[in-house]
Amino acid sequence: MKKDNDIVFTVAAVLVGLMALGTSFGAGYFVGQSNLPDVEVPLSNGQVTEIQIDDEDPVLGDEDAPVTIVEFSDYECPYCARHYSQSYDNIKNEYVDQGLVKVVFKDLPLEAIHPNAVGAAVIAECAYDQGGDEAYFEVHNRIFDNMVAKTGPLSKTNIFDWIADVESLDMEELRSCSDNNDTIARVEKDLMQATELGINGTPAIFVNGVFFNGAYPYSEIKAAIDAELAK
Amino acid sequence: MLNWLSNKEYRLGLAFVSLVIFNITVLILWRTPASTGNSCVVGYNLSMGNVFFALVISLLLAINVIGVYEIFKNEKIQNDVSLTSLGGVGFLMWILSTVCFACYLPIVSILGFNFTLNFLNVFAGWAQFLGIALALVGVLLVDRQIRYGCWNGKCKI
Repeated sequence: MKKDNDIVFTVAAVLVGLMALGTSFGAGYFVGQSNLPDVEVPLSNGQVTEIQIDDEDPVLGDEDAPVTIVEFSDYECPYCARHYSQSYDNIKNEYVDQGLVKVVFKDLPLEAIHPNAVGAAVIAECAYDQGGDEAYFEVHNRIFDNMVAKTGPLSKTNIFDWIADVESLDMEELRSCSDNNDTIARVEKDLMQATELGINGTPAIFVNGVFFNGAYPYSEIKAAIDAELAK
Repeated sequence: MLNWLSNKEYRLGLAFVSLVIFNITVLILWRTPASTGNSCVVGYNLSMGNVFFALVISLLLAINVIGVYEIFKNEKIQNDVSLTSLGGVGFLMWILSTVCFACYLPIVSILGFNFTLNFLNVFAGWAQFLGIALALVGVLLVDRQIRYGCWNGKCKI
């Protein structure tokens, strides 16, 4: 009987030991990648960096505008919605529509904390496939308008409801596209680029390469744009 | 102090319980949306400091859990009955008459409150200090009751 107990105890001890080992590795792994995967040196606020813009990146505004704003964003991130509500319209009205600024949008869905952000990014990319920049930003604006208004949680069903009346989009095609792996790969490409740049959060805003780590008040973004225009 | 932990089964139980609590805490630290400088960041809460805190608090909470079990076991020995012979109401009556609530309540309250604080530590440093302080109080209470007795209706606190 005692021998049986000893065997049970030994097995239990080995299992707990394995659990401890797994925990150590697990905790170490998570701490090691406490931000995005492979971000070894996070980008500092105000740091200037060069950002590659691809042909398939959605662009709002004149291609030849003197100032380029690149935004890495996550549709489910409340700070991205805050940036949208406090700066997006102002930038568009005051600079983009005047041909002074162009905004390039890149996806950075933080899937670990925002599980629906990838789906939203993919739908927006699918809209881009159908109608280019205009369709992309129509969907982009509809999603963020609803996130700001808190009309409902971010989900594919809700997004399709929010964009149901966009006439330029074929909804059936959009639905089938949103399950397409090629489109997901494009979102992942943006994510890889963000990782390589050392971005560790969203929104990440670059005004002619000058990094703004988060949703800054419009006055600060405006000051940065004006400074770039004055150069 | 804590001599009752010399039992090797208890030590194993202690390791198991503390690992479970630690794992849950780390998972929460990893998955909780965090913000810094008005941005969403994955795993921002999973700092070395927070992980170290999680390790300490998990150990203290596990001592409390094992201690409560030890007290319960001792009480049960004093009031042994065949549990299989009890129905639902019978079991409830047995628990109510066996457990000395005057002893248990402070410990169980501290334990419960501490579990909550353990998860709050994700958000606030003050919760970490309060959590460790309360967990230490819990350990002292549980140890005292095991050593000086809370059995057989004595209810010494």
